[in-house]
Amino acid sequence: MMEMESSKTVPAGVSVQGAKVQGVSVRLSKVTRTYGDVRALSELDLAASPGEFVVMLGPSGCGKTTALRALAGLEQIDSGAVYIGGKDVSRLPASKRSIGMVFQSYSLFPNMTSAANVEFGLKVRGFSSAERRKQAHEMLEMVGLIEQADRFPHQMSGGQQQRVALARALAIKPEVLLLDEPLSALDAKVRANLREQIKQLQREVGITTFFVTHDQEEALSLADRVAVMNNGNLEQFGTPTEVYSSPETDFVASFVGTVNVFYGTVLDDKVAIVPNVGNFTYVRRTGTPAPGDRAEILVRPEAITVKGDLEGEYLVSDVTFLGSNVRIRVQKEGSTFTIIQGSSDIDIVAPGSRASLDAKGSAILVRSKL
Amino acid sequence: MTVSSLGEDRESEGGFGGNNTSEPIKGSATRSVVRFLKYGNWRRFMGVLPFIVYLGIFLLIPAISVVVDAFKGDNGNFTLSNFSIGFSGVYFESFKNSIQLSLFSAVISTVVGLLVALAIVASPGRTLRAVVTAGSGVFANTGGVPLAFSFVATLGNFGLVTELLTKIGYNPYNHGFSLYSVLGLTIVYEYFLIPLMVLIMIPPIDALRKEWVDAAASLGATRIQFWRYIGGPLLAPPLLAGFLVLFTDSFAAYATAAALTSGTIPIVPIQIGSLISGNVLVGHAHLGNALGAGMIGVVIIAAIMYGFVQRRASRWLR
Amino acid sequence: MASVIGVPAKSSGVGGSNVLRVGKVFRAVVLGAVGLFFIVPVISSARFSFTGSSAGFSFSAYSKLLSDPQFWSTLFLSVKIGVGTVTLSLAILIPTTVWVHWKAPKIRRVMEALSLLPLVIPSVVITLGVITSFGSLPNIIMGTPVILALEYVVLALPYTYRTLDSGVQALDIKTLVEAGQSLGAPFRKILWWVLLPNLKSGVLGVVVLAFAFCLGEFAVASLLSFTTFAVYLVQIGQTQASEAIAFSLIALLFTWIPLSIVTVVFSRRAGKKSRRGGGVLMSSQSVTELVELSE
Ligand SMILES: Nc1ncnc2c1ncn2[C@@H]1O[C@H](COP(=O)(O)OP(=O)(O)O)[C@@H](O)[C@H]1O
Ligand SMILES: [Mg+2]
Repeated sequence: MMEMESSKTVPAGVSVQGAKVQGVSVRLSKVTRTYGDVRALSELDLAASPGEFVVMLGPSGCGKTTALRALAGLEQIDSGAVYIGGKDVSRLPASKRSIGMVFQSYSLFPNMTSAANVEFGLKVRGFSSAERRKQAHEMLEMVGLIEQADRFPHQMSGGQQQRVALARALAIKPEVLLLDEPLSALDAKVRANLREQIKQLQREVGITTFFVTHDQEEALSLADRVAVMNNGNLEQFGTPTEVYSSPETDFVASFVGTVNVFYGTVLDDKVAIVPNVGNFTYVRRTGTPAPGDRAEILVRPEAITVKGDLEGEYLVSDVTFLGSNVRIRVQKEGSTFTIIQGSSDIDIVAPGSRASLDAKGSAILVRSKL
Repeated sequence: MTVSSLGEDRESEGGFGGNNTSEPIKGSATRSVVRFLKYGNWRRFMGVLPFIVYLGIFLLIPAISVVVDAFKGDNGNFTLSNFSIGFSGVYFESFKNSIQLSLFSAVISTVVGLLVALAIVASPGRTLRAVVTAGSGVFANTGGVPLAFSFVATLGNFGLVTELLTKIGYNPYNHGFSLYSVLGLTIVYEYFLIPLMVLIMIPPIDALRKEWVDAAASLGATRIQFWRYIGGPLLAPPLLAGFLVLFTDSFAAYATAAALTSGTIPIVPIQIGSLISGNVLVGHAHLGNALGAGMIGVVIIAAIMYGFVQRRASRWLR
Repeated sequence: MASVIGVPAKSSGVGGSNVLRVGKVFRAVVLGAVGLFFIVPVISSARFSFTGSSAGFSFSAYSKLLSDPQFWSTLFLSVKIGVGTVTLSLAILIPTTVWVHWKAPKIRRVMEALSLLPLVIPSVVITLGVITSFGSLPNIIMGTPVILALEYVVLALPYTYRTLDSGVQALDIKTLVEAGQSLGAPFRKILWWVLLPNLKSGVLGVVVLAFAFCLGEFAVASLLSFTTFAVYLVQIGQTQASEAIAFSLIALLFTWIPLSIVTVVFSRRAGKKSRRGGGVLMSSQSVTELVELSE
C-alpha cells in the first residue's frame, strides 16, 4: 500500500520494511521431470511477469504440483532451467530461493503456535526476537488472525490454518509466492471467502504468484493469466477471457468451462453455421476447416438462447435455477446441450417441452469433424 | 507405566457411542444425578465389575500389602528399620546397580531402536518394513530363561562369539568382560528392548509429514534446523516416553538375570527373590517388602515423568 | 543424526511417502548390525545344542532331554497352568470387553490403562505381595499351581486385554447385540452364538499370547517354588548347559512361531484401517500397543 511499482533496484531477497515487495519475473525454461516411466513435466515453458498472478490449471496428475515444486526447488529437475528475477536458480536448494509456499493442508508445524509458525522463517534467518514478534504480529493482522496468535494449529479451523500458512509464507518477504491447491481442503463458503482474501493480498503486496488448482472457476476468477496444463505440457497460457473465449486447443476448450458441440458448416473466414440455430462468428487458426467444409462448432452455454417452440428440434430435459442465471439442458438425438440464460427468461421453457435454439454470440472453436 | 493415560480419556474417542439416552442434555444437576441413580447409568459400569474386582484382588491387594508390610517390624509394629537396612549397604548397592543397568540398557536401546525405526520407515518398499515390524513384535516378546541360555551359548565362557573372539586373539573374559555381570545383562536385555523401541517409534516417525519438511525448506531452514525446531521436538516426547517404558521394563526384569547368574547378581529384583526364597535376615522378615516398596517408588517416579511428558506433548496433540 | 538424514536418496517410484530420506548405506549398516545381533544368539544356540562344548555333531542333547521324564512332567504342569489361565482369561475378558464396547465405550481408555497396570508393578513385587497377603489362605490355593494360574491371568493382561479389545472393536457390537435382542435372544445366547464366532481371531490371539506367557514365566513360579517348565529349564541349566540350550532353542521357536502368526494376522488387520498422519505423538497409543512378554 505504499507507492505502486517502486524502483527496480530493490535487491533480490528479503526486504524488511513494509509489506510491499517488488515483484520479480519468473521463468521455467524447458523443464523436464520424469518419475520412472511417468513424464510429469515435459519441456515445460512458462514465464510470469513481475507481480503477476498466474494460475496453473489442469486435471489431477497433469504435473501442476511437480511444476510448482520444481520452481520452489523442492523437486529436482532432469533438464531445463528455472529463473527467478532473471537469475538462474536451477541449482539452488529450496532454502536459498526466497520462495513463500502454501500447501494444500496440514503444513503448519504442529508444535508451534500460529505466531511461532509465522516467525519461523525469520528465526532461521537470524532476526532478533523483538523484530520477529513485530513482523509476525503484522502478518497475522494482515490475514485477520491476530486473536489466534497463541493458538496451536489443531485449535484452529482449516481456513484459519491456511491463512496462518499464508502469513507464514509472506513473512519472509519472498520474491515469489507459490500456492498448491490451498483451498481445496476447505468447504465451499470458506473457500470463496479466502479466495477473495488471497487475491486482495496479492494485489496489495504485489508479489509474483503461482497458484495451482484444478478448479476452473477458482482459476478464472483469480488469475491475471491462466496456464492450462495437460500431461506435463502447457496447453495454453493467457488471460481468463482468452482461455475461456478462445481456447487454442481442443483440450482447453473442453476442460475450461462447459461447451456444446454442434455440427455445422464453415461459411467463411469469420462465420460458421449451425442449421436451425444460426451463425456463430469464430476466429480462424491453423487446423480450422476450409470454408464450405463440415465442422464441429464449439459454443459456450451463454452464446445460445433457447425459446419454447412446439415444432422445435430440441427436448428440454432439465431446468435448473442458479440464482441470477438459469441453466437449461436440452437434448437432440442423444446429445445434450447446455444453455445459460438470465433468470428473467425462466418462463420461456419447462422440462418436457420442445424448444429451438438461437445463436447469440461467437463459437470458441471450429474444428474438423472427427 | 501408562497409568497417566487415565487422565487422557477426555479425548474425542469418548464421544463414540456415547450419545445415549442417558446423557442428560437439559435439566439441573440434581435432576441428572437422580436420573443417574434411577435410570441406571451406573448399571452401565456393572459389566466391568468382575474384571475390576479380579484386578483388585490379584494385583492391587498384593501390591498394597507389600507397601504396608514394609513398615512393619517382626512384631507387627510400625517401624522404618526395614527401609534403613533396605537403603544401605549391599541393598543400596543393588539399587544403584539396578538403576545403572536400566539406564544403560534403556539408553542403548532407545538410540538403536530409533535408528532402526528411521531406517525402515524411510525405506521405499513395504516388505522390509513389514518384516522388521513383525520381527520386532516377536523379539520384543522374547525374554526370560530361553533368552538367557541362548546368550550363554553366544557370549558365555564357551559361547560361539567368545570362541571366535578368542581365535582372533581377544578373549573378552581376559579383558574384564563377563556375561554374568551388569554389563552382560545390559547386552542381553537389548534383545527385547530394542524391538520394543522400534515398535514404539514407528508410528510417530510415520506421522511426520512431508509438508513440514517442505515448508521448513521453503522458509529457508536447513535440514539441521528442521530437526532442531520441528522434527526433534515432535519426536522427543515419544522418544522420552519410550525410554521410560524401557527403563521400567529392565528395572523390573527378573527371570533373565536369575537364569543367567543363578541369582547371584546384586540387583534389586534378585535380592527380593533371594529374600523370598528364604534367605531372610533375622529380625527383618519384612525387608523384602521395603525393597519392593522401593521398586514401586522408582517405577512411580518413572510413571509420573511419563505422564508429564505426555502432558507437555498433548498441548499440540490433536 | 544429521548425517543420518542428510544423505539424499533419489526419490523412487513407489513409496517415498515419508519425509525421511535415509541413505542406502545407513540403512544397510544399521539393519545389518542389528540383524546380526538378533540372529547370532540363535545360531550359537543351535550350534551349542548340537555339539555341546565337545567337538562333533550330535543330537544327544535333544535325545537326553526328550527321554527325561521330568521334562515331560514339568511341561505337562505348565500346559495345565496354561489351560487354566487361558480359560479364566477368556471367561473374564470376553464379557468385559464386549460390555465395554456395547454399554460403556466411554471407559474404554480407562480399562485399557487398567489392563496395563501389571507392567508397572514388577512381578517380583507382585509375588512378594501374594505371599504377604495370601500366605494364610488354605493350601488348596496357595499350595497348588492354582495360584499361578490366578496370577498369570493378571500378569498376561497387558497382552491379552488389548488383543481381545481390538478384536471386539472390529465388530459392530451394538448392531450385533441389538439385532440379536430384536430376535428375542438373551444376552448370554447372543454372546455365545453371535459374538464368539465373530471373535475367533481375537480369541485365538488371547490363547496364543496367554499360553506363551505361561510356558515362559519364571519369576512367580520359581519364587512360589513350583517346578514349571521354565523353572526346570533353569535347574538343568546349572549342570547341563547344552541340554538347557537345546531346550531354550525349542522354547524360543515354540514361542516365536505362534507369535509371528499372531503378529502377521493382527498387523494385517490393523493395516487395513491404519490411520496415518493422525497425531504425531501417538506414543501413548503405541506404548499401549507394546506387547512384551519378557518376564
Ligand atoms: N514422487 C513421485 N513419484 C512418482 N510419481 C510421481 C511423484 N510425484 C508425482 N508423480 C507423478 O507425476 C505426475 C504429476 O503429478 P503432480 O505434479 O502431483 O500432478 P498434479 O499436481 O497436477 O495433480 C503424476 O502422474 C504423478 O503420478
Ligand atoms: Mg497436485
